[in-house]
Amino acid sequence: MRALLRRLLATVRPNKADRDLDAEVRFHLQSLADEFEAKGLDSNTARQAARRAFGGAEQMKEVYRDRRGLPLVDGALRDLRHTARLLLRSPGFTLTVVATIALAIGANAAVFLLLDQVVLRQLPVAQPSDLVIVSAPPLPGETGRGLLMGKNSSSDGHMTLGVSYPLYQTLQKRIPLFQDVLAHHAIRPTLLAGTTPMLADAELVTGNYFDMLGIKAALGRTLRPDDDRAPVGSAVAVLAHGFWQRQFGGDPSVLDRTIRVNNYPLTIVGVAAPGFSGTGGGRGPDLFVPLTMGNQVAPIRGFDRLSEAVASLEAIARLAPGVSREQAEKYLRGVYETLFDEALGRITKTFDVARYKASFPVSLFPGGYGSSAQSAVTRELKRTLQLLMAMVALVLLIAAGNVTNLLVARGAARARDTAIRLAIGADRWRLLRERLVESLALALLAGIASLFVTVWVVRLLPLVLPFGDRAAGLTLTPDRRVVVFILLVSVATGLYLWLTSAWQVTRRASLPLLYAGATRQAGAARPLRLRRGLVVIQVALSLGLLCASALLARSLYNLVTVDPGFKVEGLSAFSVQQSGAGDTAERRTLLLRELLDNVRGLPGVQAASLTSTLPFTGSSGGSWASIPGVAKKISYEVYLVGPDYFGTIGMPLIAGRDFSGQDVPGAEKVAVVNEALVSALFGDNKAIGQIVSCEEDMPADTRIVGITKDAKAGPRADARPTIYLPSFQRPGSATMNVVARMTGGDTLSAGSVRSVLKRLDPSVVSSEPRAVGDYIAEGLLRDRMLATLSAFFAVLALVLTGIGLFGLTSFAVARRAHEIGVRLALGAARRSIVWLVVREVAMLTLIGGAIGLAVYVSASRTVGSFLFGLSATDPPTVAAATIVLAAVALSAGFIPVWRATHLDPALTLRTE
Amino acid sequence: MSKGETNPGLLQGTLDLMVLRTLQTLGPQHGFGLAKRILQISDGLLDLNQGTLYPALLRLEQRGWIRARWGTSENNRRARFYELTRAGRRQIDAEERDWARTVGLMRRFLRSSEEG
Repeated sequence: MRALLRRLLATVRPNKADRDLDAEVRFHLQSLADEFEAKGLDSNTARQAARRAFGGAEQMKEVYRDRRGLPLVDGALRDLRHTARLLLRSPGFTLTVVATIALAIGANAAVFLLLDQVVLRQLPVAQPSDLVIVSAPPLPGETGRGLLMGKNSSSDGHMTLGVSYPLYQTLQKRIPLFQDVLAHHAIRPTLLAGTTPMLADAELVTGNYFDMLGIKAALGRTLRPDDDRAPVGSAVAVLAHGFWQRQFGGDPSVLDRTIRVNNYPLTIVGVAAPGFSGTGGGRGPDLFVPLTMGNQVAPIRGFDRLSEAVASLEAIARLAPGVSREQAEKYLRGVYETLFDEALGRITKTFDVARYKASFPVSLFPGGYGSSAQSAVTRELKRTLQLLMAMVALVLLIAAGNVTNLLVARGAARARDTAIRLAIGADRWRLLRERLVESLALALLAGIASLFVTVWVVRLLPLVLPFGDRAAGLTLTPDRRVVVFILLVSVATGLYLWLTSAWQVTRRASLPLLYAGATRQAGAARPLRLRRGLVVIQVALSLGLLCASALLARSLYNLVTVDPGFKVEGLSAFSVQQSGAGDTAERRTLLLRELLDNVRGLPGVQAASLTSTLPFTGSSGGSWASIPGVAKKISYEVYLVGPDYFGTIGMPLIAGRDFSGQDVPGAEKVAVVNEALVSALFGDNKAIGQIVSCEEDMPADTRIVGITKDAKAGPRADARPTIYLPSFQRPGSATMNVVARMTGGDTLSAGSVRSVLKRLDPSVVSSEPRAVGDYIAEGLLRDRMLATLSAFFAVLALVLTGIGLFGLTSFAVARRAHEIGVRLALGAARRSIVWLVVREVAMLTLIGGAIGLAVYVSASRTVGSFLFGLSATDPPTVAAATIVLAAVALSAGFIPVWRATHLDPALTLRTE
Repeated sequence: MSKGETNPGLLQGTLDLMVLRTLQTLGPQHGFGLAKRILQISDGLLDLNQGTLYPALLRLEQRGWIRARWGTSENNRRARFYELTRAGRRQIDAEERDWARTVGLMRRFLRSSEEG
């Protein structure tokens, strides 16, 4: 190794080594001469004798130098200098090539950056690859009121089922294949850490959480197992490092300070190490609280968080050394069967959970990646980003095709030069090596330039895409991983360029090119065939991209234009959350009532109401409804809404009335339902005035007073049976949204809302008022991202393909200028000349287009799963894409055609 | 592979062993001293261009068997002194064994052809 280094050094600094050798030889000769002189020779003769005894000094030095350097590196350096000269001599060419590849690589790196942040990166915890997420259906139990289940679909589309605290404890104790198991559960409480309350992301975690993940404390201590005693743990909290910095400015005096989480006092005992933000992707939790404090800081009415009835913990296990996920899963399934049978023996009631057992078997999922968790970011973006990555890789392939085209064209121009060198015995490998160095140098230059492109693209992304909160926690600046990615892609691109261009250039039969007059046919048939092939591939790929992007754009249009069933324009909303502990339902209702009255009085507000879930933003959760005397139960979605709700959001009632301020506890229980519920529950019968049960196994006590038209639950979600209940009559949700109908297109002003809340109750946390349309748009982030970026890629691909076609056709015209000139001189019609050139463009486009369509159709399933309201092979869209491509192709041929038909025959003939 | 760096009359590798052995007996030595000593021991049997020594020295250095540093010669001239490294010392044993084996092998061949 050291020897290699020294040789390298000698290669880089040849002068020093040469001087050393000279000095050494000089010393040797002098010493020899001294000896001869001592034997009695005169100094001149002694020197000659010395030189004779030494032998050919220069010859020896040559051998020495060869041995000393690394010939390969030596040659590479020479090639590099040669390349640098060549590239500098044609700056236009160099710039074009570098810019083309830099754009493509930059776009790739930008998508990679997102993909890496969201999906690929491992969690910054100890041995992340040993972590598995445990998904197990709840065990049968004697629970009075059913189960609260945590059910998440992760980014891979698989479902993970939450576990209950008792099941977690069993997992930890009874599975020897697990080194340890932790459990955590995210909550979103109000947090009072200073004067203004805020919403915080908190994580209820078991006491071994930090130890098992190998996370140390940056300050104070992390949570310990004895913080997490059942039934009630220590009233302590550990802050996440980022939150500590944001909220407390990194103040070390936060230790021992008391904060109120949902109005429950907790003492800060430490700050977790920087860089750790929970086990999910995205921004992660702000603070960590012992799991056994769950009932105190985030009580669920009627449930004990530590009982079997609440199965919402996410359990993460660390596999014991040498145990594979499959082994552990198999073992765990066996144990679960035993547990299940034991539990069945304990209870008398028949249990519905067997259904879950069949459809969601006990499973272990890889847990070491940010994407393994079920955060909103990862779930939505994983497959989207993978699709985009594939698309943008195709763009790079197209760009590389163009560059190859340029390189081959230039190689053809230098063909004479190459031929002469081959003819006088240049090593073919030597020529190939020159090309390699050239290709790599171009690609690497482009790689460096692409870093800037990446930074720029990434900075632009949040501007064109409504990331909203979801971008928080993503560090959108290229880091080392992105740089390595760029480097690898650059090298790969360089090799690709070399393989596609160099072979052609040096393989040409050398002699014919040296004949006089042969220069006119500089592009021999073979490289032209290669270039045609490349252009066909380009056409095919860009047609595929174009089809996909057109479909995605139309799909987005379909989604945006779905009728939400209410008037979105002019509707603003904000959420309020009251700190749970110590508040009675009456006081909450009173506050909401006052808030509503005050909001109605704000300038610009026409009407205002409340809702537990904003309409058209997905599922709101629900229960089972039934009518007396009928066994049928209907699963429905529930919205708790304020008085005048339907009037405020502009959702038409087809019968009955809106809620009013008189729908309060004590008055008759009422509900408004939608048509879907009516037809599911009553068939065609009249529903107004009927009594229903809104809760499984509960008496029917709620009268239907109104019916709304069916409205979709979200852009992609069909209308479901829905029941609206008056929120003042059934206060349940700690978080409510205030919706306000504004005059003109205004949004509710944040300042006025804040001052109203401050006056009413400073402990209430609220979000910034925003247009409801924005919330809906955010829900379409994935589709918007796909449509926008794929459109960008498709345009890029089209432009590149256009340039490719243009280059090839221009080249063909230039090559046949003589022939065309002769034809024109002989009186050929311009039309026939046009045909001569256009035929080529048309042929290439036809072949490429046909291949592209075929390939697209076979790959359309992938795109299809993202589409809404049209099929992946929607004929009008595909046809339109094809026409656009054809138009681009023909316009690329236009200038060469014009040039061909305007050749001056006299000029051509004169050069003969 | 390497072109013409040893005297054609000299078997490849023999010069290496000579240099290593000489360094072992004499200790650190400059090129001139080495050449002198080697010619002295060969007692006129070896007709060696002394310059040939230097590529051999470089080769040994690159293999890490000897190292070189600048010093002052007996007559106060700046000279490069070569000395054995630990790896070089080990190498001598290995080379000696190889050489003995080669000599033994050759002897056997020569004897058998004498008999046959």
